[in-house]
Amino acid sequence: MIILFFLVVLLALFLGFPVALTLGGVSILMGLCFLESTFLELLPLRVWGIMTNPLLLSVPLFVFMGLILQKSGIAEALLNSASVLLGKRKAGLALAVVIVGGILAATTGIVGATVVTMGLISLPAMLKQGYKPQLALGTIAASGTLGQIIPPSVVLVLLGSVLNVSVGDLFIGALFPGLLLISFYLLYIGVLATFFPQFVRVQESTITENLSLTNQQNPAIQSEVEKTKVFDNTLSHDELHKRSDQLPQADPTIYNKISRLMIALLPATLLIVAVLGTLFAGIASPTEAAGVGAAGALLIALMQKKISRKDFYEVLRQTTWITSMVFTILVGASAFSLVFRGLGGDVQIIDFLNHTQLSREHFIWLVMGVVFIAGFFIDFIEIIFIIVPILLPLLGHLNIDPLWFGILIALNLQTSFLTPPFGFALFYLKGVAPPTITTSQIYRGVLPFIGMQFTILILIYFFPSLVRVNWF
Amino acid sequence: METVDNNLNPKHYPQGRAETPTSTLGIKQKGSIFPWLTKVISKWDTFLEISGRLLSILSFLLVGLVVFNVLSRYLFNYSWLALQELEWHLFSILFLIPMAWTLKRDQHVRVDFFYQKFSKPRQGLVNGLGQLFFTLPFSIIMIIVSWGWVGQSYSLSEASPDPGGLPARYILKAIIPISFFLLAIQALADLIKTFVLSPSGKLASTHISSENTESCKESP
Repeated sequence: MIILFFLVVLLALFLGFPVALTLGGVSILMGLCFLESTFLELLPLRVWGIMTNPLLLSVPLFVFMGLILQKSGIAEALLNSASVLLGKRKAGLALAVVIVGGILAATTGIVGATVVTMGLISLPAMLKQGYKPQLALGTIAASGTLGQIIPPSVVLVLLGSVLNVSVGDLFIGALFPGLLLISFYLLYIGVLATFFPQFVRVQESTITENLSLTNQQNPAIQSEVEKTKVFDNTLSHDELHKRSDQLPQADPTIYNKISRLMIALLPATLLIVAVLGTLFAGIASPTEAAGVGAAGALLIALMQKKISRKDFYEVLRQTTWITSMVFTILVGASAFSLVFRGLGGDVQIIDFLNHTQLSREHFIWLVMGVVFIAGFFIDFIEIIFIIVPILLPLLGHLNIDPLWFGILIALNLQTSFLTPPFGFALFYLKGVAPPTITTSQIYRGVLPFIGMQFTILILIYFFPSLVRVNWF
Repeated sequence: METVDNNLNPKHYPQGRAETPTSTLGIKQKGSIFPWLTKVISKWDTFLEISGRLLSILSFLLVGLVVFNVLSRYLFNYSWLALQELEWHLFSILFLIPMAWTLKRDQHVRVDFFYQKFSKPRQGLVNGLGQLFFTLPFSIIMIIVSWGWVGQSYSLSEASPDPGGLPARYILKAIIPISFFLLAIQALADLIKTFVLSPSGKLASTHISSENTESCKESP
């Protein structure tokens, strides 16, 4: 029965009707057929639980903050000045992309936007400088997904609410793995540039080829820009490329460059300090930190006069849609988990575990495999709301630390978004890359980064103390 | 799918039909069999759009409210319980009531792995069946089960259990049936658009109109 229920849900989901409503609908129909009608009367209580959860309140605030930063072009300013500073050095651009990706992750946490922004701005500049396309593509895709793991990330907020772990703890726990990831990326690029300089050296044949191709009109990019609205409406595709073309020869003096970078960095840094600082110092709750961050982002955008009235309304609308979308899924998923429990699903899973004598290690690797593969097809929100709650009772049963488990899942999801052939980040990047870039180049480019992801995943698996809340 | 061609061919329409080129629906109305129905649906669309835009201001108010509460707590060491409760009241309204608007704007996430490869009529079919078998039963059951629950709260004239909290908690609870009622109506409107106003299903996804392309779906 429970397997039938699960299969029907899966099948229905793959039809492509909105996830939230499919989950709700299938669960209600199954509940009507096989459960007592009084059982479904628990549903309003579940919805009420979502409404009164103070943690979930931080999600619209973080979304608001991310969208404001996206619209106000802070990402663009950062990338531009970082590239100006580091652009002429060996592998400088690639390093700049990783660092800026990390900073953007700590401010917006929206993977799609980060990948698209960096793909549009840095990719042409990197190709022009003669980077091997694989390296450029891999760096951008991997750095763009950092938003999943670097706090404050919506993934961690939702995981915290499902796993009953303090979001502050999850943020602190994710900080070290996130930094470790960034240093791995940087190290890899540095080593590559030192020992295999052909990866970053100017190659006459490719440079001219890429140049001519990056400058031609690309309708795919055009539509992607409009779709994601990463930039102002006024900024056309051509202007973007012009800007990135001008990068390396912009300012002559190093002081000038540094001061420009500082000015560009200042707002982002202030926000990171305001949000993460107050949170980690235990002064503010996640919701308060998110609220202050959102207001701060708006203030910065207003002071720099970088956000128009039209953009602002767009931010409001998108915040509403995203909030409604996320929590409708949660409502649908709570209907699902209610019916799942009503049909005895949780008991059956524990029975199955007892029956097969699955060890703690095997269980973790099984879950990681399922989450990894699920990440190809469905969004992180569904994975967190559907799969994780089913596993929750087993964590206590098998004596698994939910905080550590949560970080493993977040890292795993991030890797999954990067992995060919279905990773979301790869689709975004393909969408904004010049037409000469082949899919297989993107695949080959991300492979080393996936290797690093797995290394860290395994490191954290074997050394759980890497994820800790009290560092001092 | 031959009906698609028929729809495009003006010969198939009886004469003397009112021909309005476009409406807020974005549907070519010259094919509609029930002009009044089209009118009602376009009114509904306008209503959803306007109310949705108004509701979206709540997200900004929420930011302001949270900041105000933080400031008053840390600077003046004073906190209003009512205002703190208002935070999650606003949040509840912000995610529940716009469910219908979000559905209309096709902003609910899909597992579009196969869906994006479907032809337009097939996508329309998936949407139609989904509204009929998933959205409508889900909404109707939610309205039924939450109705008694809200009534109970009303008969007790339930308020915040904390002193200084907000009164009339049943109003907030009533948001649940109201939101699902709006969702059901939107599902119905979508069904009518799909199967009555454009029987071929050709225009089924018109609610995914061009104005939507500007929007950015939140992704991980």
